[in-house]
Amino acid sequence: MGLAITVARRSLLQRPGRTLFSLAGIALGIATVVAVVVLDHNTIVGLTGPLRAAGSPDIELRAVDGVTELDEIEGVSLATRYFQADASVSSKPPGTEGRQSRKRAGLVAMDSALAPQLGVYRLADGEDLPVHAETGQRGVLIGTKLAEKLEVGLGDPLWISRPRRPGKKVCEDGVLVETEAPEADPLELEFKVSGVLTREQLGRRSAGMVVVMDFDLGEQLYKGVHIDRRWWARRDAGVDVERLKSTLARTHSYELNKAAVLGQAADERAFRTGVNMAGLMALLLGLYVIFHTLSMSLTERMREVGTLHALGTTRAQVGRIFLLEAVMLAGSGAALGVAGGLALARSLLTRGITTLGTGKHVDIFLVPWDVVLPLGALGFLIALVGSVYPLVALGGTSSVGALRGDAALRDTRLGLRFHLLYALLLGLILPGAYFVVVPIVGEATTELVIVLLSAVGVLGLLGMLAMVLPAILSTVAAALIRPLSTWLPFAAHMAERSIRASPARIGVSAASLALVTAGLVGLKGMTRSLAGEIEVWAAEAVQDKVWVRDMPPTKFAALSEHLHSYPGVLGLEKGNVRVHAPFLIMGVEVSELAGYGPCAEDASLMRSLSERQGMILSRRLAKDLDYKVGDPVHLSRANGMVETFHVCAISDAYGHYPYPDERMYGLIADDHMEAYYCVDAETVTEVAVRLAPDADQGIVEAAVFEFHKGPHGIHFRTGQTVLEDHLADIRRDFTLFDILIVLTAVLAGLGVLNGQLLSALERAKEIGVLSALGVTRGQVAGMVLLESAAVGLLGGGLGMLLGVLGVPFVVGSLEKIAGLSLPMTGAGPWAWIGFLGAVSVALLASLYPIWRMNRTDAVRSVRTG
Amino acid sequence: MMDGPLVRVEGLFKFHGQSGDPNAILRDVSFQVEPGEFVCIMGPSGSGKTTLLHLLSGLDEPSAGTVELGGASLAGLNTRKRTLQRRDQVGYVFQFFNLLPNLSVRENILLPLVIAGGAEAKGHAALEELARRLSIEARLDAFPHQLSGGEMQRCSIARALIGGQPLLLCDEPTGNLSQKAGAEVMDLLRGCVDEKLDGQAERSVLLVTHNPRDAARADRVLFLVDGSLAPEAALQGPGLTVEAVHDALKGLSI
Repeated sequence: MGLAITVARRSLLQRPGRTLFSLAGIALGIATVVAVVVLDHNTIVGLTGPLRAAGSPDIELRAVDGVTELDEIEGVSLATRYFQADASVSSKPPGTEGRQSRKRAGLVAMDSALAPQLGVYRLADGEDLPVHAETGQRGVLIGTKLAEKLEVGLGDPLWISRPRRPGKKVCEDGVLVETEAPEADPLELEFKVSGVLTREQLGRRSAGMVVVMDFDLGEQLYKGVHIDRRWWARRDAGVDVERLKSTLARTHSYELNKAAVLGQAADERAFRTGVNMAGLMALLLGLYVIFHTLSMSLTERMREVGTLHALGTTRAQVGRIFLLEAVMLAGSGAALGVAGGLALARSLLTRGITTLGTGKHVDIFLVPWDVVLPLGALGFLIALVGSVYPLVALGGTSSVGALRGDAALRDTRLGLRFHLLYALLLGLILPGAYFVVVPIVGEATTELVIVLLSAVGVLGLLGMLAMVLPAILSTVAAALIRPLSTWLPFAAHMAERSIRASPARIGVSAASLALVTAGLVGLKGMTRSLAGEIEVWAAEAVQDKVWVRDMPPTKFAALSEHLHSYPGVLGLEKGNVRVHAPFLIMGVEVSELAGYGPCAEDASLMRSLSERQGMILSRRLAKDLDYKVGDPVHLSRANGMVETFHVCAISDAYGHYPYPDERMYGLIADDHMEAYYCVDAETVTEVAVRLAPDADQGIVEAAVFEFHKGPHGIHFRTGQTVLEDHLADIRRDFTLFDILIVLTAVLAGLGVLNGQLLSALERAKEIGVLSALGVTRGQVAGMVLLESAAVGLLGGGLGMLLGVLGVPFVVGSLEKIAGLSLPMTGAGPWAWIGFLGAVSVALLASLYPIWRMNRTDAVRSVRTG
Repeated sequence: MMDGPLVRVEGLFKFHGQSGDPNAILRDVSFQVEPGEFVCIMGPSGSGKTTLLHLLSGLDEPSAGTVELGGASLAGLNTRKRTLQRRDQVGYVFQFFNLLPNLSVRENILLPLVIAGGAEAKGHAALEELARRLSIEARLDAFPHQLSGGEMQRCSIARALIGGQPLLLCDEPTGNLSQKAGAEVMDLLRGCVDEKLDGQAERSVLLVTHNPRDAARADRVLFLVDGSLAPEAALQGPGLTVEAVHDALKGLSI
């Protein structure tokens, strides 16, 4: 083992450049993918944690009128009946002293058989609710604070009733009315404390003064009194959220817990999947670099193998040397990669960069070792297999052949086998294993699988080109620099010869650059389409609008009359007449819509809104939930009943409000809003003013100030600034992709650099001889720069082509996956920026090899054979 | 026709190793090579022969002393200027041929012209003539690994001659060849001086060898022992014989 350690250590230390850059390749690849996974984990856990704290289920449902049983709904499981109310709780039986110690607590009633599986509470002590229907027992779970206040513990009896109070006020026809008159003597039942809740989720409700009981028992307590019955349900893991919403909307009013769907919306899934794919690309490029390095150094290593054999070293000993070296290289690279990835993820999180966009605050930093370690191991093992295989494959060659060395790689069969293994490892095994370790985000829909397979197909294509058909790429690269032979005869001639002599190196380097260029062009093409979609939306929704907020409470009618006296004012929309049931519903004064949008073209729409419970949906909501004109929409009213509206138009012309920014909403007449939700629609603090296209937007400010006799802290915002903010959001949200692209570009650069460096080392003698023949340093530099330029031109050109051709596919896929309507804007200038970037990376990567080549000792080179 | 010697070496020293413990490779070496002269330098292994060639070609710099090539001193020239001087003045023939493996024989021979940047059309004509004279015209499209040792060295000589430089530095050109192939190479080198093989006038050859048979083909033989020239043993032609060279070596106990 001593020999193995010595030789392996010397080999790594005496070629610091090769070692360093190989290590950097593995480490950077693993670091990127680890960073992506850790970032995503912390994004989801960090952002859902606070949302889960409230103890809400994944889904809260209300059925339309008359439906009392919940039929099976695709994507929903464990639905339990539920209601919440107040309870009066005592530790003393009725008629005993100390009854004044009764406590008011929140009451949550659920099916006792299913409640434990919903994950909405945890027990600090004791057992879950006994199933009342089976055992007849009356158990109850209590909050910690209630247990303290009543000084009760497990097994103690509690007497619970509904509070003695007036009936609850509910909104009926625009008026808050009291519900049924309470009974004089509420029913009081004896319960036994089954368990004590932790101070989280449901256990936090009412500051810990809470009881959880069986639904039927709860109903008994509230018999004859109005309760708001709902269902609580759990979302099936992996179900598509948009499909679930669409299904639910057909028969129910629903509320989805943000924690359950965070990161699961179509656009979020697409974003996270994209990030994961970028991670895979980085890992693949990192391993590409190491394999490339190894294949390049094979000739050199074969001579070493021959020498060792000639000196009496056994094949087993030689195998141990190279295995040890590979373990040291891959192991250090993997360890550095994991550490670097964790540091990178932490650094990104502290800068507010997450896998759900930028600007989100995540306080925690957790390391999902169950994913990180397998990823590190995956990188390590594949690097190891790639490192050891050449030596195993070449183990059968003769020592004399090995000593000659230069013949080793010229064996076509061996070269093909060698490259095929790498293509198999990188094109099939690595992506396959990667998706086992890092599962696909959300449901593996057909569209998503097609996109992923296509992405892997592109990787495979480049891998095939680079590894199996390198001669084609090198011929093209050589042809690219031939025209320069008139001006730079020596450099062009030598670069061409070098390219032709090392087709695999050129092919792999060009393919790496092509991959990154295609990634950049595709990504930027996609963001341009997203920006284009924003612009199309903005032209309808925000252009020619001015938002006014922070007004003192203002009578809408008076303000409207005042503003309409100004030229160019087409209509006013109310900003603060809104409810959420289950999506954002805005109330509008129907007559204000007459001057623009679809109501200007079809006056009957206004009648639909006012008289036939019509509803205008925003385009995104309609697309996401698959609503069409005429479809029913079930909304939960404030009294818990469900009201059915009908879609009368789909348009973004009305209703968008940037506080908060929401593009999924519906509009109903504010008469309905008042009637069903008891919202004051006559008084506003916020309005949006729609102007004619050529109107002066400054008149809104002037008019409002005049109306209010001064500024009074009122704020204004124009449609143009809203558009600019949306576009800035896209740029900001894609910062993570930009970072990943830069990292992969560095990796591709490392691949080129490594190839050039190995070439420099292999060609040290050649460079020395050339120097002896009168070649200047400038000519050496020219030779290498031209070679790199050819690689850059080829890689950049190929990548640009793939990217430009791929943009429609990427955008089309995103449309299908994320449910967006995206215009095909193409990659625009990014195609050329990507191309020039590839050439620049290739040229930059050649600087160190040039320096290294020019340090070649010509005297030493020409002394030896 | 230039005035004065083609090569002038004065008081040349070369030290290797640590500055505190220098190992003198060459000590106070002085000599000249006239245009059209075939000079041989003999000496045992480690006597500094190859180092001397490196200094003459400007590949290496002396620790002390001067080297003039074609009347111009190499002292004080930076790397680039020394390279250009070498390109203009020196053709180099190596013991191990040093042909570039990825270039064909034709491309290897034309390489100095390509490096110098042009004259390829003229070069092709010269190449044909050189190849014919060196009997490698049928091997021009072969690659180095397809050649025999003698062919490789003839290719190397052709490469050294194609640029028309006045000085040919030959470092053990027959050291890696069979006796027959070595004799052929020496005929060629002699021919470079006598018959103006490539049509160039006044070419000089400086041959480094430890083979008395090769040395006997020179006009003048200098002996390098432990880094110093032994002027008392120097032989001057014409009519040098192998025996005379042997005797001189014996006299120096080599």
